[in-house]
Amino acid sequence: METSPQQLSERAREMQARIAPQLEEARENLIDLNQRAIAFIKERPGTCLLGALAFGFIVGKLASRRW
Amino acid sequence: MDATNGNGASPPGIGQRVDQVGRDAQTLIDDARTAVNEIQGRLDLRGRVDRNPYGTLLAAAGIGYLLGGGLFSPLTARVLRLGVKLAALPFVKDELLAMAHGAVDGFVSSAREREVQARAAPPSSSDPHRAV
Repeated sequence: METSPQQLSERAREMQARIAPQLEEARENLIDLNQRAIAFIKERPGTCLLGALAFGFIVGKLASRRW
Repeated sequence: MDATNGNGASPPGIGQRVDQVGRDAQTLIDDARTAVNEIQGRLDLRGRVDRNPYGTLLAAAGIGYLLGGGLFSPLTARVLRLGVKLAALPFVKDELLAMAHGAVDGFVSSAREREVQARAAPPSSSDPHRAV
């Protein structure tokens, strides 16, 4: 079965039409997640900073260990 | 025997001592609170978090990493090497692109030159490819 360039381009267009809404939804979800994360950090700056400090400390401790 | 000290005043009782300790503790707490407030005002942590939340968190994680002793570790060396490579990538890319452009230009111009020479030169009789 042979596929002509026109058929190929049509198939690509169909795929794009099918994927575009999902991509848009994923983008909106990411934006929403980002806004929620920023709001959470701004609401509890001390907790978040202490958490980040502790996280960095643990990673530094693990990294400085001799394996 | 009279329970007075050298200058005639009676020593403080346990209740007074407890009161004194309580007052000292309260002063210490107030001083510590003032110091913390002052440090917070100087560092402007809330303002920094408001302006750049992710950057501030990254900075805090970096300070924690340093405090955890991760500075002189293989992971830091690896991350630094990766950072240097990523920083050098645009320069290398530009160089490679310039080299590729030069090579393509040279190839095209030499091909064009050869074509012009082939058209200008008259067909010679000693051409081995020429049909007899």
